[in-house]
Amino acid sequence: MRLTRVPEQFQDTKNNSYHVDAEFYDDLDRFRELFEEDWPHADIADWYQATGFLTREARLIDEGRFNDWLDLFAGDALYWVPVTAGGGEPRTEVSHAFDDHRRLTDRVYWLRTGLAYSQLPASRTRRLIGNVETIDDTEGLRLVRSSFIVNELRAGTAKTYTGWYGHVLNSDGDDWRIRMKMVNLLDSEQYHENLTLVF
Amino acid sequence: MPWPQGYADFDKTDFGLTKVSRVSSYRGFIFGTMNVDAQPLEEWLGYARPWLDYWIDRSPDGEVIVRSAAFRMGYRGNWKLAYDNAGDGYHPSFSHRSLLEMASRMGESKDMTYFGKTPDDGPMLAYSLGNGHSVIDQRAAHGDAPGNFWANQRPQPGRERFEEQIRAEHGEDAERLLDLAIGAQINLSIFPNLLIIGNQIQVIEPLGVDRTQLTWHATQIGGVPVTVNTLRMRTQEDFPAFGEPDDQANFEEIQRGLAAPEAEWIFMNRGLEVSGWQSSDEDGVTETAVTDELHMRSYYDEWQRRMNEEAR
Repeated sequence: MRLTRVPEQFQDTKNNSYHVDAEFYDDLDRFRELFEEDWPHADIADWYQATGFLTREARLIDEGRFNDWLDLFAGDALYWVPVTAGGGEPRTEVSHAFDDHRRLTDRVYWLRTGLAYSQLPASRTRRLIGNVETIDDTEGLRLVRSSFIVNELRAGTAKTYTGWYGHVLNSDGDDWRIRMKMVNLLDSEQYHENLTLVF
Repeated sequence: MPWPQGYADFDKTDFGLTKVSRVSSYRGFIFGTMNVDAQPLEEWLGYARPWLDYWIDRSPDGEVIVRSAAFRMGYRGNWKLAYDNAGDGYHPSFSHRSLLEMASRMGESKDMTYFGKTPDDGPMLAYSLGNGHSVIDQRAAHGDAPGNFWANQRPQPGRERFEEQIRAEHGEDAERLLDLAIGAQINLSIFPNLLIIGNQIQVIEPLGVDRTQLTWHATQIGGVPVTVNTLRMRTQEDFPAFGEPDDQANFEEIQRGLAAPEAEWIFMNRGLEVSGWQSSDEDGVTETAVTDELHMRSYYDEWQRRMNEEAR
C-alpha cells in the first residue's frame, strides 16, 4: 500500500507496518522481474549519481554509522537478505532479513544496545561495489544493480561475502531514499557462522 | 572400477556406502539409526510422543509443510552446547538481553520477558521425559485465552494490515488463526539431535568436536489462509536474527573456556536437590521449574549410558 493511503494512526513506519500488505509483496515480484532483465547503458549522469549513492551508503555501514544508514531508507523500505538465491517466494519462505522500516529500526537499535554478544566485539567491514548499472522504471523509481565484496573481521576471524545488490530508490527532492535493498549472497542457502553483520 | 585385475583379492561388496540399518517414520518425521539393536521408534520417542503430537496437531489438518529454504547456522563449538541450550529456561534473561532491550523500544513488550520475571516460580514448567528427551512448556506464561500467543508476539512486518484482513474475513475464528502464525510455545528436545522450537524444526549436526551445524527448517501449516502462513514466516525470522546469534556467540565463548585445562568442569547443578522443585509421576516423567538444569543432567545420563555401550 502506498504510504499516502495508510491511515493516520499507522503513518509512523518505525512503529507500524500497515503498509506491508499483498500489494507490497506484489511490488517485490515486479522489482525482481526488472532486475532479471538486460538494461541499456545508462546516461552517464544517472550512472554517476547511482554510483555515488551506493558508495556513500557503503561508507556509512563500514564506519558503523547505522543511524545515518537508517536515515537513507524510505518509510515503506525493505532491507531484504533472502535465503533462496534470487529471493525465492517470500510469502512462504523465510529470509535472513526481511526488514520493513520497523524491523530495520529494531535491527539498528539491537546493534547499538551493546548487549548483543554476537556483536561484541562489533564486526569491522570494508566493502567494494562494482559493475553498477541503473535504469528508471515507469513509475520513476530508480533501480540499481551492482556486485559486492564485503570483507568482515570480527573477534579475530576474517570472512568474505560476495554477491549482488538490487537497490530500488525513490526520488526525495534532490536526493534518494531506499525503497528496497536486496542482498543476494552467492552462498545464501549455505552454512554460515554469525550472520549478524550489515550487508 | 578401472583395471580390477590389478587387485589380486577384491570384493566390491566390501566397499559399498554404509547402510542406515534402521529407518522408521512417525507422522512424516523420518528417523534413521546405524544401531541394529535400537528399540522401535515409538518406544524410543516414549513420553516425547504426545508433545510431538501436540506440535503437529496445531495444524488444523495435521499437515506441517517443510518447503522453505532453511537457515544453516554454524558455530565453533560442540554439538551439546546447542542441546543444552534448547531445554534451558535459565539463560534467556541473560543471553537475550539484547533482544529484550530491543523489544522494549516500542514500550511494554511481553514476548520472552516472562523469562526475566521469577522464572523459578512458574508458571512455565520443564519436563524430563526419559531417553534423553525433554520439553519446556511456556504456554502457561500466556494464559489460556485464544489470541494470547498473537497478542504477546513481537510485531512482524505486515502485522497490522494482515491482522485487520484476517479479522474481517474470519470473525470469531480470527484469534485461533492468528495464534497459528506464532510459535507453539514449547521447546521439545528429542535426543540426540532433533529440536522442535516454536514453529521450527532444528537438526543438530556435529561437524567436529568444536564445530556444529544447526539447521533451522521453517514450517508452514495446512488448513489456514496463506496470509497466516506469510505472517508465520515473518515470525520465524525474528529469533534467528536477534536471539540465536547471541546464543551461538555464547557457545563459542564456552567452547574456548572449556579448553582451559585448569577449569575442567561445568556446573550444571541448578535445581539439583532444591526442595519443592521436582516431582515425578509413576511413569518416571519429572516435572520441575523451567530454570532447573535437569534437562542437561538427564540427557548427559543417556549420553553416558550410550557411550559406554559396546559398539557393534
